[in-house]
Amino acid sequence: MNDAVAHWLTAFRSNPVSTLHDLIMGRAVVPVWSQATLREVFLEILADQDALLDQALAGWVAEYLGKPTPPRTPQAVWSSHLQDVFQGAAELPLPEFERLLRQRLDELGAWLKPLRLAENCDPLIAAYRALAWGHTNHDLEQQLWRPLALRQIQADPSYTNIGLLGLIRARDAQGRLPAKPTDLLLDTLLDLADSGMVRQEWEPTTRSVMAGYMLSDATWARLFEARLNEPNSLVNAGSWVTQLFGQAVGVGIDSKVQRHEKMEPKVQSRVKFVGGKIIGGQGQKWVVVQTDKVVSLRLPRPVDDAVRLVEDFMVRELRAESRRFIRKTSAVHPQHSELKGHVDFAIEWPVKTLDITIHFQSLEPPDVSISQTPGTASPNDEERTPTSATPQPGSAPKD
Amino acid sequence: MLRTTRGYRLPSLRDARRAPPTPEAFQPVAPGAKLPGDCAFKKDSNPGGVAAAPALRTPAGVRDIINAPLPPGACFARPGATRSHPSGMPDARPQPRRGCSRPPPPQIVPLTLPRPHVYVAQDMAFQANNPFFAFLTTAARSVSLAEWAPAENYILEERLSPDRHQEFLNTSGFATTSPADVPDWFAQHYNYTLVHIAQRGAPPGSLASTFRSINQPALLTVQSAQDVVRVETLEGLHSRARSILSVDQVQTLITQYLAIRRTGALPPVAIEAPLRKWITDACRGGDSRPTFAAPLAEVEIILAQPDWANRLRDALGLGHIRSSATGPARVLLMRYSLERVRNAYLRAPAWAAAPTVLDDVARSGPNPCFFPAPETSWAGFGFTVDPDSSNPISVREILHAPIPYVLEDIQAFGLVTSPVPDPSVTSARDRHRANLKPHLRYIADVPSRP
Repeated sequence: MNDAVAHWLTAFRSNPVSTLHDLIMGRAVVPVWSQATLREVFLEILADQDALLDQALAGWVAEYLGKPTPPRTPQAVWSSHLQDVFQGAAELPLPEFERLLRQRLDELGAWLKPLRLAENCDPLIAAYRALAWGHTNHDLEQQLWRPLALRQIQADPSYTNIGLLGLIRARDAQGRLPAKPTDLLLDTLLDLADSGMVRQEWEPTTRSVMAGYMLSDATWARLFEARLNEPNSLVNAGSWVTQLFGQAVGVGIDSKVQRHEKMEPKVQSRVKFVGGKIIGGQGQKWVVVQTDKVVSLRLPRPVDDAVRLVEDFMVRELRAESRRFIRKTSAVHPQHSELKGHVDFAIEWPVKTLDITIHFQSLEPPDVSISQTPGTASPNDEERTPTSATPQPGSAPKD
Repeated sequence: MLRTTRGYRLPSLRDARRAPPTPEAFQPVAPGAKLPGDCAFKKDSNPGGVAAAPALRTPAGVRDIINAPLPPGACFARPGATRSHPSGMPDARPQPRRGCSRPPPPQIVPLTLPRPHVYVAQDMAFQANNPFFAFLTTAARSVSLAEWAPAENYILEERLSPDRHQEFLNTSGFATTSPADVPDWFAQHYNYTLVHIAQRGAPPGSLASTFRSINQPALLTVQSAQDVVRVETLEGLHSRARSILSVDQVQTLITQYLAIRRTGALPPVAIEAPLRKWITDACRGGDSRPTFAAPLAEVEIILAQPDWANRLRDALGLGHIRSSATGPARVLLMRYSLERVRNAYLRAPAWAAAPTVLDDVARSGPNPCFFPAPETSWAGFGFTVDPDSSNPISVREILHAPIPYVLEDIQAFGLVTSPVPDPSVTSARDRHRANLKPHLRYIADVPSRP
């Protein structure tokens, strides 16, 4: 063990709360902790003095809870220290500390709420996160976690994260963790879709919840479908879940087909092939082409090449091919970088049912479309297909 | 009379080197009051007795004293107290002279910085604040690395503008009162850096003092058409993310993501989407503290080694990242182009700077694995302190203004499995100091350790 750490631990054993206070205030003389986060420091203390750290943290919070800012300490610094304490204690086994958080939750809220200075300096949400991880997280679903997740308390993404985390880890009366994603968690995710959150934020949030479990997409789709089949007044949720899982969920498909059909006539004389990423493919149910750049292609050869590449990709389901596709199409008109950022166009289709049809009669104007076999649908949606991807008639083509 | 290497009066410094300052030396001094050094000045150097000069506490006060005519008969050195360069070379800096009527002007060292500076190089340093500087010289004689290394760094720092220096003294309260003890100094250092550097609680996009004109002597112009690397601890990033995921889940996702990316394939959205959200959340929870980074080209050879995490930790002087009782430290290698930084801060006074002692947001005292860069060499770049004595390399390092990471910046996941013992840091500092000695303007002000 590092000498300075050992020396500090000796002092800590003899006077836990006061030594911990010095550490929190930046008064510890331990070079190896100079740049460490409080969480990293707590982890090191925990390896040697787990019970004592628990008692000291609980004792420290109890001592300073509700007290004003200490002298010679700017409020921003004090707020930052408090945030670091709760942030550092989260995910650690500290039963006494967690008990204190639960028992004095209202006082904590009243104490820490005024100390929220900005999104990056918010001790209250850090305390909520520590509580969400604690074994005392029970009976707070409706009172705290769901309102947090739905941003009814604060419109910060981190509040949604912690609200969902609290729901994921909410225990029952016996202190047991849930056996699977709860209905309330699923309902909250669906409600989020209709709470004003944009889809570009909802999908990664939902994916983050899903990533913590070992469930297949099919299982997730079944769980969501069951909740969607319950009476509800949701508008976005069904279609967003459909776009997340595709055909596995039967809701919202009709409206998506209609939207897709409406899009087809918009295909103009110029094909906007999308350079970017092709995600999925081999062993996946879906192939998703996402864009970060648009490339205009002149007929006939570039389109020919590009389509062949897409077809190769589809047939062989080789992801490596996707890179070739992107490189070639991007290389055609590199001068079109000015279009970058204006287009966010995605094509999603089931690998085995997509039928790419390309028509072109002459060099100008070409007629290229991507259609699908009957009974399938492309989940292209309006949000991811801005008008710049499908220029309006009369708009000047950009080479 | 005693003077610092900048030519300032430092009445108590030499006495402090012979014997620790008395507790009275650390007491607040009222403006105009006599300091211990003033007494020494009159007693030793001016037997005839001359009224003591005002105490030195502010930049303006220092300038006034430098420019003021000295009393007749005053001399500037105690008999026998000649100054020689520690390297044995003739000292070209201002030397105290006997029998002269005016102190020698501070030497103006030609600057080779790429950007024109509007400050005077020798305007100010902690040497000019008597109580605090006396405290530093005492701390620099400590046997504890945790105390002497930060004190040495404070004394040797050449790049602080008078305004920056005063900003620290005012925030810490050390303009009038010296620290009660080393922990008090560390706590005030931490306070200062949280308020002026990290700027916790400030609106997003707030610029740290590091990149404002107040830090003009340390601002750098760097070619932005190059990639830099940086090591982040997974725990550190995860703390800021307030994620739905646990740190272990994030580690699993990252290793899967990197493994898939190495094959040339593109990771599935089930892995990529949560990771993108995680890193976005981590950056949103960050503050405006500067980012230490090193040029990719300088460490490419290290990155090719299987043990890159340990070696890069050493080469970048990241002594705080180490294996501990909890096991190895989990780190991420980040790589990105400086062009992103430049574009993000086009309207800022600067986006790159050489690190100074006041840019180090240090929870438990300023980092001993840092050594202040001399102003007059290597176009202003600092060098890392490599604690690996077997094959030490020093890498050029810069600070740049923070930018949000994107997932593609993550290049590798690694484990730092070796500790960083204090003796290795001491050795590294000794090597570093020896290499820089000819360039360190204030090396003579650092007292020798027991």
